[in-house]
Amino acid sequence: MLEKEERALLQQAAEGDDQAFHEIIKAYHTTVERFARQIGVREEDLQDVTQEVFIKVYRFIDKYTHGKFSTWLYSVTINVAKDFFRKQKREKEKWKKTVAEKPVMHYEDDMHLSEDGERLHDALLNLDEKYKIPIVLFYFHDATIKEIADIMRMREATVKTRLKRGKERLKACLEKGGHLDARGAF
Amino acid sequence: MQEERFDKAMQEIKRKYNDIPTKTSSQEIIQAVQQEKRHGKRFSLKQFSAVAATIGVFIIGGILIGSLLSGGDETSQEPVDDRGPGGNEWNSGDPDNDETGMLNVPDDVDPEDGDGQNRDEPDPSTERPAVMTKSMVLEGMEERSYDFELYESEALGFSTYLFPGMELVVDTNGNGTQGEEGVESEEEVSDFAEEVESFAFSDFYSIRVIRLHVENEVMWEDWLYDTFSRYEAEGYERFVQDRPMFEGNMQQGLYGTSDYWRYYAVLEHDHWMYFVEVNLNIEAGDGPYPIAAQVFVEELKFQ
Repeated sequence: MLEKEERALLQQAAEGDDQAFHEIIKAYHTTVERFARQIGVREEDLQDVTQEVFIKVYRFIDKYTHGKFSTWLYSVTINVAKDFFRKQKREKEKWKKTVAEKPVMHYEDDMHLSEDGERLHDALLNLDEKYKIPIVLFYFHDATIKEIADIMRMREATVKTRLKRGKERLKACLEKGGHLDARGAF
Repeated sequence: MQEERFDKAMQEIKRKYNDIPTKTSSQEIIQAVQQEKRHGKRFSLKQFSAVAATIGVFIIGGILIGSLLSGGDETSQEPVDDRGPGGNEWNSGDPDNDETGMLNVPDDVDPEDGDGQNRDEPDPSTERPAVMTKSMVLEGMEERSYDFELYESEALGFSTYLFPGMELVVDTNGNGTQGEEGVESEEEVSDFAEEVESFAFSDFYSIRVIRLHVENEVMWEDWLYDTFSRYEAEGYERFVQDRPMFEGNMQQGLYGTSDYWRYYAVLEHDHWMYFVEVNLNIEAGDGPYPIAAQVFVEELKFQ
């Protein structure tokens, strides 16, 4: 979607034009769902997270005034995902008290990756969020350092550091053939 | 070679992710949005009223306890509170003091004597008792004492009392979440949050203290604007409080989602602004946490 066209749609949506908002949903829902999956949202929660993101966008679209829309959308997705992670953690605690823990479903089993790909994907899923989010944005969403800094509300130097460290960790896992401790995950 | 191997594997993962069919249809999202539109805000007035009623019970309880204590020394609280008996109870200060900017406090109001408390007066933390015992009567429960432990932050130059079990956590992403590592390097602190310390009891109750060096009012207003914009982007809505949560002359306010309350308070010391953010799960509103948060903020002293 052209930037000019997008701006016009956002303006119309902010003024209450439902059709314009539908166009925005159509244009971005795949990106939102994919990003949510990549940063660790469970398969069973993906639809809820994606819907929640657009509900929040709908509610706060009049507050969005400047910058790239996708930057704001990624920020909202991160925050909604974090809410789900918190709920997930609480659920986990409850389950621990009652019955055996429910298995967490990610999409890794059906990806048919090469050995290296599988190893790296496994490491990525278990990488701490502070490294995982910049890595996902940089490598899978072609975001620039500046865009990542805007999305995560941090300095570009910080993003660079996190990308570097995250990459080092992933590379180390690739070399060693192991994976990170799951405690490092969300 | 190693770089090439890494890039190749990352490209492969990216391709595979892009090949996964989308689970959520745009139509379903549109329906969910329309449903949201029909039902209005999920955090209903009814729900808010229930929480407000609970808070009201605490306030009345606080006032009653305050009255009982006013003539005597029934609590086992140690003499750390220089505001006299009942000073820590939930009897709020000036109701007009909710959302007013601290930098906009009228000239004739002296923040140091507005409530008889001088926050900026040098008070070496070494003089503060290590433990402050506080009794609370929660709805439908017996009176219970809690030992709040003195916490001194050398880095941020403050001291206060922490609810038992509340611990300093490493702020890894500017959102108060706990990380896997130790303290981050200085360059990983965000532009605005010059120095941050986060404390957590659980997901239900956490506090962040951000210290900023503010050079001018515009800079501060920009920072606040960005912070509140972030809250709204996170789905928080601003609520008007009937009474301020924290006692004392400070800028403060409340934001909320359907799950969380987020209180904030702003305190000033020398050239530093301290922004305190309290995150409280709505389910925790019936517990001791709101009072624990008040203790944290109201007992803040700066060095």
